[in-house]
Amino acid sequence: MATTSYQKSPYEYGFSNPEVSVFKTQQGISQDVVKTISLLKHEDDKMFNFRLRAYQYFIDQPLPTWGPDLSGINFADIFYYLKPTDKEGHTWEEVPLEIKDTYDKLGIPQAEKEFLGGVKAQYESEIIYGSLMKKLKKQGVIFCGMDEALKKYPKLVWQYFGKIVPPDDNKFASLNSAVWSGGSFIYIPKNVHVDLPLQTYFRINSQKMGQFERTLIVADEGSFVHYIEGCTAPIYSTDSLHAAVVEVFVKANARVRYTTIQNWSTNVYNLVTKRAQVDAHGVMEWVDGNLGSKITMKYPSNILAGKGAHAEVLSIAVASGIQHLDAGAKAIHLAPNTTSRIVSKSISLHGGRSSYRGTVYISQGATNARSKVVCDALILDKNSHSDTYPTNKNSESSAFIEHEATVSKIGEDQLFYLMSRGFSQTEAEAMIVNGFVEPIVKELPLEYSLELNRLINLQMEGSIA
Amino acid sequence: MKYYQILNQPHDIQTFTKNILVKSGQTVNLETIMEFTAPNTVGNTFIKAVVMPGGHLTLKGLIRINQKSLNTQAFLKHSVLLIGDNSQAVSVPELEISNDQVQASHASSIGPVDSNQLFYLMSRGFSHKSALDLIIKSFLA
Repeated sequence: MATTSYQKSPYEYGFSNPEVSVFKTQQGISQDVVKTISLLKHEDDKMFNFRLRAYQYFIDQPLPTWGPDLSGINFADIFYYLKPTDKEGHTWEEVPLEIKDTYDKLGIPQAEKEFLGGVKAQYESEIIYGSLMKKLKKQGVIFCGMDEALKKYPKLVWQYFGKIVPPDDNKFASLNSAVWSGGSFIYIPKNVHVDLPLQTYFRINSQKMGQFERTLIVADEGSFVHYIEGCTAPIYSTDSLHAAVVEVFVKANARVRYTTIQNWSTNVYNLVTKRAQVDAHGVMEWVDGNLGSKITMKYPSNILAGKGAHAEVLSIAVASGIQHLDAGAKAIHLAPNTTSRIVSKSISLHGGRSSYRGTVYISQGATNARSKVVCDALILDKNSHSDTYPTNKNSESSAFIEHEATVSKIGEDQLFYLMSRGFSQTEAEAMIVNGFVEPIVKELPLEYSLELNRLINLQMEGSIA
Repeated sequence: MKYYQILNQPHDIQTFTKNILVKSGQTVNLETIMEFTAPNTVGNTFIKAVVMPGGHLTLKGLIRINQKSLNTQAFLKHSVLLIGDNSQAVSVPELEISNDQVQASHASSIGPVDSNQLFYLMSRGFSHKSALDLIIKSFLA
């Protein structure tokens, strides 16, 4: 069979601007680095001690060995904190020129004008720009940098901070808890519907950089919010590290949708802990697009704690070349009538490796709970790999878990059918691949589905439009 | 219990079937590995189990297809019925695929007896217990 003509488009975000910093910690990690970050941020004793405790956990825990090979990470080589500018701008004019230039190239200010309710931009370790619609401010919506939130609303933050991802959760959550900087804090008051999405854009610009943002979303009863995050970085020959922690609290009857378009360059280790707790009749939706990075380990988790809570995870991974994308999802059913649905689609090409790794657990007492997991994988050439590692555990005899997975190439009969109708092989392949990812792509906001379609671009001769 | 199957001859066809009844208080672990190293092979694994109250079952099933095993068809199925209180089942179906000329899939379900089937039998005069026994027997037959 002919080798595939399908390929990922070249990485468009690989440019870099000269490094700007007003402060940078020394290379490597030590207790001093952790202390320096805390002192620099003028944090209270509570956070100072939280960081030091987390640092100890980080030192004590071994690297996880059950997934992709992480031995290539050199913790001593990385810069853990870089402050690019003195303050957060509220108009783009207040943002230093070199930094603004980056975001212009990424199209953020334009997107903000057109379809976003609020924007945060994180550059290296700090949020450098932030805006929120006046209407939302009036309704009591809080959307600010995590550091700012800790100063302004310490009581609210501490009520939730580190509660579902404790500092000793795993090695990289510990590392994040020790050296975290930046990220967003969102609070949506009761019954407030935020119609336009809120977005944070993460950018790593310097070499050997570590980005450790911390995102915390609290959606109070009956509220709704759609949060989007995007990530890119320049291509360097040295490795960077991104280890984020995301905690989402979905209160009774609330709904949160969390969309990620992860498009790090292929020198970034992306090791992220994401977890949501969903109360009675709440709905948590994760739309997780993994396109970039060297190694990704990311399993958005849902703790369904209240009756009738629902979780939905749509995950897509496109692994090409040296990439190893280990993505998946977790659903922990702790209450009656809880439901979850996990749909994962992965594509491996040019020697890439994509894996689905997931857990569904239904505890005793979670009567009539239901969970359905569907994983589909496409392998496009003979050097690529695809793995599926699900764990389904059911301790409640009235509850039901279904799981199915398939791995295949592009169907020869499908290809034949389309080609017999006059499409070239390339066009036919393109249509099949687009159809394969369609159920997830259609859940993305329009501009992202366009981007995604472009990212998993097909080399099409002639047009199908 | 651990079962290892290897398909290392071209055009090999193998099917592995196992039906298990996990009695009250029993713990059963079953691991199956089906490894494909030759082209044009077909391998199926079918595991069915019923877990009675207080029983614990762990099923692991791996399909591994290496780079040389082109034109492979592989399938693994775990079907588990949970009966009564304190019954527990874990299903870990795994796939490791290293070439593109394959059709590999697995399916797994863990759940209760279909209440429609129970209702049907009981409406024909079976007691709840004998209806349940019948369903279990036929499931494992």
